[in-house]
Amino acid sequence: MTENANVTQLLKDAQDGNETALNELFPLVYDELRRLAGLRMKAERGNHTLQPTALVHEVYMRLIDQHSVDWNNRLHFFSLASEMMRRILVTHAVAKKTDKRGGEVLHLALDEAMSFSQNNAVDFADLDEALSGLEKFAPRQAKVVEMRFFAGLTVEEVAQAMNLDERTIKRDWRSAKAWLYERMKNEK
Amino acid sequence: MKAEDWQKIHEIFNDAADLPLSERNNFLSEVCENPDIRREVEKLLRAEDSANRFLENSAINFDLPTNLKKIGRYKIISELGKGGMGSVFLAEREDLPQKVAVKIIKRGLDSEDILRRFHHEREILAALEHPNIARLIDGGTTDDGLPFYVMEYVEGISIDEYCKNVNLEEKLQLFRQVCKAVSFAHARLIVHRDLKPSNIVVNREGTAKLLDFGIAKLLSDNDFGKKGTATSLGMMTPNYASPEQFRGETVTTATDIYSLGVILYELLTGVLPYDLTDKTLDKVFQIINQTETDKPSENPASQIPNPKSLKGDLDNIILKSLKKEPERRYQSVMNFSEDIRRFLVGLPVSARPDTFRYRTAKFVKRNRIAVVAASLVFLSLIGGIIGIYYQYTVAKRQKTLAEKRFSDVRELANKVVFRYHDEIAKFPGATALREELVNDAVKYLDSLNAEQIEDNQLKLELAKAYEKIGDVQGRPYAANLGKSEDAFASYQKAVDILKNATEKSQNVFELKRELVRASIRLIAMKARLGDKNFQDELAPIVDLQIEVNEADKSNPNQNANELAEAYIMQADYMWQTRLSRIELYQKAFALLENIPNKPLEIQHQFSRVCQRLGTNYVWSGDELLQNGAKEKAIEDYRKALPFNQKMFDSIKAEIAIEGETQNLQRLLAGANQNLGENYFKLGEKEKGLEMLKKNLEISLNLAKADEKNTEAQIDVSNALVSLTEAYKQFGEFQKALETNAGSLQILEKILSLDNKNIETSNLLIRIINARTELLKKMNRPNEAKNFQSRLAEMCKSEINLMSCVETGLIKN
Repeated sequence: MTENANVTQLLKDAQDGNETALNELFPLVYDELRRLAGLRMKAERGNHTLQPTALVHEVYMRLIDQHSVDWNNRLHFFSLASEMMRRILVTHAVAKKTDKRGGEVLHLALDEAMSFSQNNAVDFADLDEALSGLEKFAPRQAKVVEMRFFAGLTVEEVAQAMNLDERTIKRDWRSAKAWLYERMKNEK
Repeated sequence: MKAEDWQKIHEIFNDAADLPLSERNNFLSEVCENPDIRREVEKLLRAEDSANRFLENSAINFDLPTNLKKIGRYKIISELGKGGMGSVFLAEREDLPQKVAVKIIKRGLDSEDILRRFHHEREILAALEHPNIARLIDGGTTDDGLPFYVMEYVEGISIDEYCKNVNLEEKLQLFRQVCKAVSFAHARLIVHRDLKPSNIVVNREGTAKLLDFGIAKLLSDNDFGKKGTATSLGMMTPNYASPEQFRGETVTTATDIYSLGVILYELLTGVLPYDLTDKTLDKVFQIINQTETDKPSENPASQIPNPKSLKGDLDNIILKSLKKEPERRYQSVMNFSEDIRRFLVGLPVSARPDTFRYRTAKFVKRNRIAVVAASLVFLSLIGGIIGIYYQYTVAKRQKTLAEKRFSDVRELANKVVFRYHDEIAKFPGATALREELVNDAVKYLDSLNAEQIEDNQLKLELAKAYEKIGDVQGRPYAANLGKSEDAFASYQKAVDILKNATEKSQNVFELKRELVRASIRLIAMKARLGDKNFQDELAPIVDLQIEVNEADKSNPNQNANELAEAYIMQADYMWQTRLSRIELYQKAFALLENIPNKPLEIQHQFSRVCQRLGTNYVWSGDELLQNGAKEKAIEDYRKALPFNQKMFDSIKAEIAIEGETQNLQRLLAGANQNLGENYFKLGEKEKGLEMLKKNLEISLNLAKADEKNTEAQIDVSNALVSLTEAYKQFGEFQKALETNAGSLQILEKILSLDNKNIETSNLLIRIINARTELLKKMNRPNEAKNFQSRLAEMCKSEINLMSCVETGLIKN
C-alpha cells in the first residue's frame, strides 16, 4: 500500500530526527487510531483483551511496512509510538477544550477510549507542558512517563523496550511522577 | 535544573522514599551536603504523598468495553475507580435491578499472597454488617479464576461536601453515625486506619456510610512492595494520620479516634486542624507531634460564618480527640460519640480543657462511669491491612458482659494471634513482623495488667496469656523468637499475678496449678539466662503441686502428670548429685508407670521421664568407667537398659496414638540411638549396631523430607557420629572412616552457612577428633597430623574451649 510505504518513510525520517516528518505522520496515525477506537467500541470481541499496548502495536503494524523498516531497536519503536500517542491525546484534549476541530464523532470515540478517572483527571495540555520541562534535564525519566502514561505500557514493557531493569524504571517513574505533580500543582 | 543535580535528587529521593518515615530525616542529613538538593528531594517526597494515584491510570484504556462485560452474575455498567491492584466497577445483578460495586483483582496480580489477603479482607467485611458501613453482598470467582466481591453501592457525596450545606446539629448527628460504624468495627476487632472524608459517603436518605474497610489498601497501588508495616507513607493520608502513625508506632483504636477528630474539626470549621501544605518533612513531623492545634472556635482560617458558636464544649471535645498521646484521647469511639450526644441535649460533657481536667482529675475519675478500655494488638500482615485489637471493658454495671467479652477476646487472641504467629513463623525473614506482633500483644497485656482486676478468673486468663507470650518470645526447644529476657519478664509477670491472687484467696486450685506451670517456665528461663539464684525455689514448687493434688483429687491423671512435671523440673535444674536427681526421676516414674491406657499427654510425660532415667544411668556408668570402676559401671548400664527400652516402647505408643508426626519420628530415632548405645556399652554389639543403623535410617528420611531444616541435618550427623564409634569398636575402621566422612561433610556444610553456632562447632570437633584417632589406628599418620593441626587451630577459638577440654584436646 502506498500509504503504508509513505508512513514507513516518514517513520524513518522521524527516527532520524526530522521534525516535519513527525508532524506529517501525526494525522495519519491519528486517523488510524480514531478508526480503531471506533471499531473497538462496537466490536463484539468476546473475551479478547485489547490492552493499550496492543493498540499501539496494532496501529503501527497497520501503518508501517514491517519488512522495509528494520526495527532492530525496540526502544525506537515504542519511543516513537508513545510520543505519537502523547501528541494525539494532547492535541485532542486541546481541541476539546477549545471545541473547534475534530467533530463530534471523533470526540466520542476518543473520549471513551481515554479513561479519565474522576479522582485524578489530568489536564493533558498541562501535563504535556510539564513533561517538556522535565525532558530538558531528565530525558530518560520523561520518556518513561511518556511510555507509561500515554502509551499505557507496563513497567515491565518499558523496561524491555529501554533495555533497563524494572527497578530502574520504577524509580524513574516514581521521581518523574513526583516532580510532575509538584510542578503542575504549583502552576494551578 | 542541571541534569547532574537532577540525577542526585532522583537517586536520593528514591532511596529516601523506601525508608520508613521516621528514618528519613537522618538519612537526608547524612547524604545531602547541598541544602538546595535536600529541599528538592523533600519537595518530591511531599509530592509523592499526594501523588499517590497521579498518572496511575493510563491516558488511554481499552480494557473495559471489550474485556469485562460481566463478573459472575453481575453486569458491568461502568468503572468507578481503578488502581494498580485492581478495579471497582459499578454493576447490576442480572435478575435484580440492584446497583452494586464489584471489586476485582487485576489479572497478573492474583498471586497466592494477594489472594490470601483478598480473602482475609472479605472475611472481615462479612463481619461488618451495619447500617453505616457499605455492606458486603456477595463474592466469588470469575470464569477465569479471578476472585471478586460485591459491595453495596452507595450513591451519594462525600461527607465533607455534604456538610457544606447543613447546620451544626445535622453535622453532629451525621458524625455520630460515622462513630457508630467505627465503634461497631472496633468491637469486632477491626481498626480502619484510613478514616477520611472521601471514605465516608452520605446517600440520598442522609445516611452516612463508611467505605473501604481496608479494601482501599488492597486495591490501591504501591503499598505492598514496601516493607513498612503499620505506617508506610504511601498508605497514610497525612492530613488525617495520627502522631503515632507518623512515628511508625502501633496503630490502635485511638488512632481511629484521632482521625475522627480531624474529620470533625474539618466538618465543623471547613479547615483542617493543621495546615501541612508545603511544609518540609521536619516541619510536618514537628507540627503533628508537638504543636497544639488552634481551637476550632479560634482558627483564623475557619470557613464558617460564626466560629464562636463552637466555643466551649465542642472545642473541648475535638481537642480531646486530637491529643498527641493516644491514652489521653477518648477511651473509645462510643465515649466520643456520647459526649457529642450530651452536647446536643445540653448535658455536661466529659471533655474538659486541660487545666480543669488536671485539677479535677480525681473527681472526674470517681464520678465517671468506670469504663476503662485497654486496646490493642495490632496485627498486620506484610503490607498491613487490617488492625485487630482487643478491647476489654470493665464496668461494674456490665461486669458479666465484660467477663464474657474478655474470654471472647482471649480466645480470639489465642486463635488469631498465636495461629497467625505460627503461620508467619513459617515464612523466612518474618522475624521482625513476629516481634512486632508479640510486642503489641505484650502492650495489650500490660495495659490490662495495670487495671484493678478483682476477678480471679480474669487474673488466671491474664497469667495464661503472659505465659503464652513468653513461650513465643523464648521458650526453650520450641519455635521462638530467641528473646530470652523478654520471655523471662513475661513469665515473671504471670507468676506475680498468680502469686498475688493465691495469697488473697485460698482454695483456688486452678490458680495454684497455673502458678506451678508458670513457675516451671520461669525456672527454665532463669537457668537459660544463667541466673544462679533459683535453687531454693525448686522444692516449694513441688510442694505447692503436692498441696494442690491433696486438696483436689477430681482428676487423678492430671494430678500425676503435673506432679511428675514438677519432679522432672526439680531434678533437671537442681545441683545435687546425680543420685539425688535419679531419685526424683524415679518418683515421677512411679507416678506414671501404672496408669493404664495412658492418654497421650501421660504417655509423653512417661517417655520424658524414661529418657532421663536411661540417660542418667548411662552417664553415671560413663563416669564410673572413667574412674576405673568397670563393674559398677556395667551395673549402671544394666539399670539404664530397661528405661531406655521403656522409652523406646513409650514413643512407639505415642506414635500409635498420634500417628507418625515428624517430631515423634525424631524422638523415635533418638530412642534408637539411646538404646543402641546402651546395648553397646553392655557388650551386645550386634543388637546395638542394628539400632544405631535404624537411628540413621529414620534421621535420613526426616532430613530428606525437610531439606532446608538444619536441625534434621544435625540429627543425621549425630547418628553418623554414633555409628562411627560403633564401627570403631567392632574394629571395622574403614566403615568407621566412611561414616565419619559423611558426618564431616554435613557439618562443614552447615557451618559454612552459620559458623557461629556453638553446638555445631562443638560437634565438628568431636567428629574431627574421632577422625584423627581413626587415622592413627589405621596407620595413616600424615593424614592424622593434618586433622590434628586443624583441631589445634579450632581449639584456639573461645567457643570451642569447652568441647576441646571435654575431648581432652586441651588440658584443663
